[in-house]
Amino acid sequence: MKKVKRLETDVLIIGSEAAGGRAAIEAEKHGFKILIITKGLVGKTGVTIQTGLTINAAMGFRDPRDNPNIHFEDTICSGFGINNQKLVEMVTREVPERVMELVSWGAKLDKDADGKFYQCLQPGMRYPRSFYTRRVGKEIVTGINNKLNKLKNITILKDTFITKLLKYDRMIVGATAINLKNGEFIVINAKSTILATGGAMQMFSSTRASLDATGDGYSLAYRAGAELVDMEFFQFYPNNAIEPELWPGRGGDRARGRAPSLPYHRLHTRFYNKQGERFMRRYDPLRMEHSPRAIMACAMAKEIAQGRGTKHGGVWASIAYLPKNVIDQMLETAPWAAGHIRSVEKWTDPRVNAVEIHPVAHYYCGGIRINEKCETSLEGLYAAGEVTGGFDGSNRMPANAISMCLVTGHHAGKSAAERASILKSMPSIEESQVQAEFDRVFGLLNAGEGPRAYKIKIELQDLMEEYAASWRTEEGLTKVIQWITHTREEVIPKLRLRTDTRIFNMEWKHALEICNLLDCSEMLSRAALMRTETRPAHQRGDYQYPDDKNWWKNIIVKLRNGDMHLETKPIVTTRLKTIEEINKLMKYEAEVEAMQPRWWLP
Amino acid sequence: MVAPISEKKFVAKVFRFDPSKEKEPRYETYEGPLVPQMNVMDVLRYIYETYDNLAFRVSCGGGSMCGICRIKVNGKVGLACTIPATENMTIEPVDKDKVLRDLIVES
Repeated sequence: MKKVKRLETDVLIIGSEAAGGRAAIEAEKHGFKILIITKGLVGKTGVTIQTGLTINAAMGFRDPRDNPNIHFEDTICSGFGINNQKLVEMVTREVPERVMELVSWGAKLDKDADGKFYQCLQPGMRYPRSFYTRRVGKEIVTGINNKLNKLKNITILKDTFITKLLKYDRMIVGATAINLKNGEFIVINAKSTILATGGAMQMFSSTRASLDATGDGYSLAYRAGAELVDMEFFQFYPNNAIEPELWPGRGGDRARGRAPSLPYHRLHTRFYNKQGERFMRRYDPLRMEHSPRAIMACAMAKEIAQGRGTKHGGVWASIAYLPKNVIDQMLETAPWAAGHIRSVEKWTDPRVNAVEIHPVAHYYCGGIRINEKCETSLEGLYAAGEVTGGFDGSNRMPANAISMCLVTGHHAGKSAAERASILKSMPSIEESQVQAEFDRVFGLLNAGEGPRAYKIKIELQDLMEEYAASWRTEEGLTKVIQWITHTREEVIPKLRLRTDTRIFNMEWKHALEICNLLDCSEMLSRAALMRTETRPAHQRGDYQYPDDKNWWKNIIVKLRNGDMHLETKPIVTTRLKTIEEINKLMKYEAEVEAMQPRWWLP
Repeated sequence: MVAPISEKKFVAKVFRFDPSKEKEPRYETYEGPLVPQMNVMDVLRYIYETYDNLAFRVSCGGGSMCGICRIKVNGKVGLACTIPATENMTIEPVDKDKVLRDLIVES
């Protein structure tokens, strides 16, 4: 092993944004040495910066009836009862404090004329709860970084890619990484390690999410032997324009994400299938297009799978049913809406025509299994943010993502610091693990003729989109699993790069990322194959109904004796002890929500 | 309505430099189809997937959200994901003196 750099730290945090950044702030309070690693640049890499508009905290500024208990219940309803209720209690109870703290660090959230914060109503909420600003991701990053920059004991390594978690017995003792700037191999020894690496949206070709969302954390945790939960539940956002297609080659994220669409629940947009039927009446007659995202994404996927989709494989979204003068007056009072209309107008007039839309990969509900202290099943390993599983259940409520990142970040930072204070000395590293990882990583840095990482990624994305998105069958999922196994065993070892430079070798990074994506895709597909029922966010074409009796439980995925092992565990409950109780609450929630005015900003 | 995909082509002259392998920077010319609403980020990704292991920064992938893809096109600095692609482009790093490789600069 040439050129190995060795680092020691009390707390290692992988990921630098809403969850990782927040964890660092907390851990630093206790006076420990913190090392943050990001594979890109702070404030620019990852998905936090992409956050659209809103953060949930039940503070009742616009409706005093709202409170953390109702936020808890709504989150369970949105997650179709699959959620870890202890995590939901924790997040909903603590998020008001986390959001206000973020504001005090300089994040600007919009206020009404009366000086109180805006809070808007989104699908799945009984009362308006979402704090709003046009670029909320930017504000979160600003708040976190303002605070981070003032702290002394924090070192940040940018452009550094973590390749493996190092294990000693059942304990995580650090990680290996490569510095993308010069190809240097880094061995980090840490008392506690926090994973805050975000989602894995790049498994699917339809996604609009960051190209960094390659599921690194899920794969790192899995390969280290940690338990992951709810990996079959992947949220698709039910509203992304698919026409015009921009790229002459394939569709993929670059094309499908570009054409602007009509905001759905914010503009009273209606969905139609190719026969002109407003199909949501068959899936959620009470809320129609204000239904939870997973119900709508599954509804669309079913319409398309059963032959009622549009020519380009989508459904229609339209506001053209509203008279022109109604639309005009509506837009006069809402500049944000007028902006959306103008961008759609560049290619079609939404007052006259519908837009062709399609659900796109948006958020990974499942992830690393944690408890309320953000401890994983491995000693010394903590997780925060999207990479965790359990909070969202089978479907995330709009605006709950950042809420969860901030609260789990806070707890992960605290728990990691506590462990660092208990450990007297730095845990040992097994050098054989370091050597094996060095060989794997530099084995991929090999120029010549052979399969290319980016081509494998395209193949994987297309396959996942077709068979593992919102319409899954045993046949399709089996095909995906076979392909993954074949690719991992036969193709990855033959991977070659077009250049073996060690300086910002993007292809090298892509090769490492595709290995992570293969792990995530296999976990998703195997868990999806096991869950023989339909529960929104997981729709089985061959098992089209929910089966509470057999499937009101979580699927746990872990590596055992070199193989992917799946088992079920009962749902972690607190107040809502039975699925009957939850089903009753879901019905009630929908009724209350259906009575709310549907204009989301004042 | 959107114009039909034309037979137009882009020709991009791109700054290339790998200090670990080359003494001097050079410019490489790449061609590809120019389609409506195509931006410089699309051009870079097209080059990466069609021709060579070009180094450039990308994160959010479009929509000027993350701001990581700052670049110089025909002498003007901007975000690759918002600058429209044209028939003839010279694509360079924002500061040639701070280049780490190709279009990536020290930041």
